[in-house]
Amino acid sequence: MTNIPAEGRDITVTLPAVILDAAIGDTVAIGISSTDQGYELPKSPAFYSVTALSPLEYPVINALPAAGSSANWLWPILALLTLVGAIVLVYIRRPRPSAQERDEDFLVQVENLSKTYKDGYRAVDDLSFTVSRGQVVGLLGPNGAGKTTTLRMLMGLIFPTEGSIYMDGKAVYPGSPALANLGSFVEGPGFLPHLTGRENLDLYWKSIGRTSDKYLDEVISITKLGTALDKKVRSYSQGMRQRLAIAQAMLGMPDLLVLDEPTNGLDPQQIAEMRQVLKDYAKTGRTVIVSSHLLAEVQQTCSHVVLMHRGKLIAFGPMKKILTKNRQARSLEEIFLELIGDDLVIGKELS
Amino acid sequence: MTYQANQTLPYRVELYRQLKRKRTAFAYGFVLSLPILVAIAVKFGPSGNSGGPTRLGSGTTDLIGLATLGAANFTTTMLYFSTPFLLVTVIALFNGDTVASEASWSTLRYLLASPVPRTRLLLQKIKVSLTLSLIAVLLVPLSAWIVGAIAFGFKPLQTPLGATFDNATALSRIAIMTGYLAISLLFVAGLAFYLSVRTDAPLGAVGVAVGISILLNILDAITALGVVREWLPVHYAFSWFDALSITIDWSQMARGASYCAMAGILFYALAIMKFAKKDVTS
Repeated sequence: MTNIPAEGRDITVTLPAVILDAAIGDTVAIGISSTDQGYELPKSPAFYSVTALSPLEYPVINALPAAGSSANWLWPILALLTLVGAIVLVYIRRPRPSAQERDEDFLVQVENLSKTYKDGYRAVDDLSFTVSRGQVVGLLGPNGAGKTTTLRMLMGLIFPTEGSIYMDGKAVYPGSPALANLGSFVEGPGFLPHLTGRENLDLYWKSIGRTSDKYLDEVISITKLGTALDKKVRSYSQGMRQRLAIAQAMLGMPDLLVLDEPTNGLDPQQIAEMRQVLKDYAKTGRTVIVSSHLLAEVQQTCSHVVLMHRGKLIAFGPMKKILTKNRQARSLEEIFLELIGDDLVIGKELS
Repeated sequence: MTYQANQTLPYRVELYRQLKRKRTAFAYGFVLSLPILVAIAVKFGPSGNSGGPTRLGSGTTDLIGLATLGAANFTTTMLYFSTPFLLVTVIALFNGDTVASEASWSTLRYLLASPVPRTRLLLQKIKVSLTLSLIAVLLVPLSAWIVGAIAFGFKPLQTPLGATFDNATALSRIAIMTGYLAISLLFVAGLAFYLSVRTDAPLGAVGVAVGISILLNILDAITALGVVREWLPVHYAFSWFDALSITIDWSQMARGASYCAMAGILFYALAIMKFAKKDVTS
């Protein structure tokens, strides 16, 4: 309302709906206030008065309470059905791993394993090899040979396109109980940065559903972390993290230890120590699979070799046999170069 | 060595892992700061006069204007303030960051290889995220009631429509509103969790979930869309207003809560199915 004339103006005010418990005989008072929402202030001071022209009129509605409609139950029932349906759907669509078994002659059996990634890259191509108990097996090849992809399939992290892996004769698949015998360190350490090394090992142990002793003290002596174990992992150097990760992989002393490039980022002394750690581990009758692109380094550690190039197996057997078969070659490196001929595109730094 | 799949990643271990994180404390601090900041602003802010009643929203009779009447009104207003963004963000954080952060720390692959079965890992994560989320939702009315009682005292709850409830009734109504709010947030929780399984970037999952929620809110504000709006889960975000009438009309709340819960359940199911067949390369 603007420009109200001096003699005033009649207006009808529609009040907003309110709920009021009023008994018969009560008086209802209505307060009226004004505000200038348009910021159209009069240029000169003015005084307005408000007079009620008619009594308050209010509609009489014979309304019934809305509650108690049966339709109100329809939606919760639908929600419940959705929950049941979702559970059934998840159960039906769950992956059904092969229940096939192999005899337990070998700790690990890899059969015609292939992996083609979604972008069409064939990282592993028809790979087959076996690992027996007590061996230290070197999974060797230049960068991009398919070592890590193979280990990821062994850990049940990625699905093979073809072929299968058996551990202790049992099929390996994501969440397979066969994996309980495997400790792993693949593609770098993984810890909660806001917790200490000790808390990390402790929580990891509590998370993996084992009931036996955890050999924490033995494992901690391997890490040589000392008091740093009670510092936050965030403050660790690369080498410290790596040792903690290897300790985590050994926690529970699994039958099979899988280590991917464990000497990456370690200094020469630590590499020598690591070599001894792996040998000692195998002496207890346990098995180690270690991948590396440093062939010379692995030659000193491993009892057996799986040589890979471009996803394919190019040699497989005891280290001694491979070395003696190629008499003219002095080292694994030379054998490797000989076996693959001129095809060394990736990993040129080896030559 | 005996391995038991149903002993992997126990609830209390995962709860401890999450509670030790700074982001958890930060999120709860964020929720707690709302009633305290509002109360301080009203009590000691420049517009608050020392003599008469201090008021939010220039003394209007809507929910905000009535906020400073007493603890009950203050609590209701804080629920109103936290519904559209604050709780959505916090719930998206708890649910969207949980799996993706494990992927970004590389701990995910070691848990899976240990092996924690994939579905079990997600179910344990869902249980813990929902526990953390529920605590956040409950924290709003609890802290608001305490702050409101200290700052403005106990007065009956007065609704914008003029109804008045004594404190006992007000508490039961606030419980209904909080319960509705908790269930209606299942949509954002499920969405964020699904995104968390799809990505290795924790903040990406959280951000996209919040972003989608904002986008749906904008769509819901476009009245020209008509009935389409009734199919947006965010359309029912404020349906708890119905608990402020003398006789509660349950129809919108029944529909909204069920609808949001259904959307949440579907996202959780999708996440589990997707994760079961995913190549974990993080």
